[in-house]
Amino acid sequence: MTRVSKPAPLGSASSEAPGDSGSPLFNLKHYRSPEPILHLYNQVTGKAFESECQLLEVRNRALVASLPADSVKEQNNLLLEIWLETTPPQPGPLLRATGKVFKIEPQEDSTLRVEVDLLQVDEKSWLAFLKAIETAQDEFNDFLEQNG
Amino acid sequence: MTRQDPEARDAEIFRRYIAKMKMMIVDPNAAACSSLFGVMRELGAHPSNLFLIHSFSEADQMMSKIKPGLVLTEFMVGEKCGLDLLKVQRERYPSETLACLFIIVTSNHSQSAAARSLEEEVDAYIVKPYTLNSVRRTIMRAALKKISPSPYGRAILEGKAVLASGNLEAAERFFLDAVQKDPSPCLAYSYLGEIRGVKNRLEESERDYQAGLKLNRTHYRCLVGLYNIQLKAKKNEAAYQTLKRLSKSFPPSADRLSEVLRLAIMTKQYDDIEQVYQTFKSLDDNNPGVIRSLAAALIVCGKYYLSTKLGTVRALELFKKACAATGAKSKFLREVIFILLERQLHREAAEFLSLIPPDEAQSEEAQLLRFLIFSQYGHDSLILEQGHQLLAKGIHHEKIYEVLIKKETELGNILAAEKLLTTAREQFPGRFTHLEALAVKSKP
Repeated sequence: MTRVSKPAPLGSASSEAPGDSGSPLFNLKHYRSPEPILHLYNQVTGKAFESECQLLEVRNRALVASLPADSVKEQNNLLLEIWLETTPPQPGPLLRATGKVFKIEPQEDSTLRVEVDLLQVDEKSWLAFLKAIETAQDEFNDFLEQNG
Repeated sequence: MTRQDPEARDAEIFRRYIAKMKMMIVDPNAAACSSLFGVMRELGAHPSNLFLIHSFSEADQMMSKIKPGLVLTEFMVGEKCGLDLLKVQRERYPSETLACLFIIVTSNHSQSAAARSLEEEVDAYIVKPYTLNSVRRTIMRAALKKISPSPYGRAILEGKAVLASGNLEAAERFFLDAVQKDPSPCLAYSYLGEIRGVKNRLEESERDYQAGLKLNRTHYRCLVGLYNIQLKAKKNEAAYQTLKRLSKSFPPSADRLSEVLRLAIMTKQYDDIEQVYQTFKSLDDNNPGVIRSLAAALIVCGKYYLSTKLGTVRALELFKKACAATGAKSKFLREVIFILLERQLHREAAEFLSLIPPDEAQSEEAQLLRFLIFSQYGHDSLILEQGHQLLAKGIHHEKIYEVLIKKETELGNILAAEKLLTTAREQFPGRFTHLEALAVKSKP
């Protein structure tokens, strides 16, 4: 699984000097904020998915994600990695876990909304992952509060 | 009396706050709605007070009907933006909407989405993936600002309430009061600027926004307000600089990109237009409005370069970009070819003509353009023949008549020229004088 390159964090524009002469009209670095990237390997089919996977929700030792059509079936065992975009890139994923597909709901856009129960996960990594998600949320909250 | 932990106290305030509140969860995806339903249940909401909605129109109707205290909406609800729900409701029920907590839930992590949320003044923005805790903390933070505000927050809320009722004088007093209650009262300054702008006290309004920006140089509301007031005061140069500042800190929305283009043209900042083009390419945004504005701006810019020492090469680059942006839409291609032909650049015009897709090569538009290019280098008799053939096919364009009237007159075929002129008068009544002048001018 590949490492994810990192865009600048949300709101980092405020540390710069907007409107300075000679600088570009737009700051192209700021289009995305860091978000957890999900990679998965289906142990039953032997197929890996590194794009089109999107984490939607994190529950108690469970994840909800949007996955490509036909990527998984109920009861499939998965190997999951969650990478967080950082500068410099992290040497390894933030979270590595095994899980079992618990529920699948096909969506209109032909993707699957999949609930995965996590079977094996390192406690420390899990907590770090939760913390990262909540930090991303806090960044948005701060951004809105400071600028609104 | 026992001293309560502040977090537990806040949680209790929040629990009481949402216990009887009607709430709407808007998401076209039923499963996503159910998930948030579960989260809100865990946070203490009563199931009978939770309304799950899957379409924009249903949400709009329901908001008017139940006047919810909290709306959690996905950023995109079908083809529409969830923020538009707030916009519509605010126009309809300004006071009630102020009391409602409006929260966007989205996996769109882009700053442009966040900037748009700022513009519409949403109360919070929940990013996916969310956890129960991140939702709880975000909603609580937003709710506590409404139900248990700081003195500054209270003055802002009161000011907004009277502002919504249209009482500008009272609102101004609240915001002036708010300025005294916080070390960084940017938001209060932005409202003062807004009110004074409405009252046409433009200088004062500008000073208010500048005061806010002195405290936080990227304060979104102050930047947007300053830009609008500078436009209103017809300070286009200054407005353009503010807009650049805004665009550097907050990724431009489609509307803002179009504004940048408009002002760049007005203030003759032609070099910036290419930067917009580069930005647009990196945006992965197919907004047709921006594409049209961008193509038009690149063409105006190219036309300008044709008249400068930078000349044709630079202009052609820009024209190519305009055509690339629009996928060689014939309207823009035609415009480019017309401009080039005005400067007798028929070879260059022919290059652009070759961009017309093969399946449109025999369209009336393509035939017209081919003829106009040919008219700049072809033999007189062939030009006349081809021009008349086009008219016979029912392809009438002012420029065909221009070419033919001019040629017939040059060749001394005055009767033919006058006949053409008569037909042209019928076809293009508004352009009669222009064509007649052409005929007279062309007489040997």
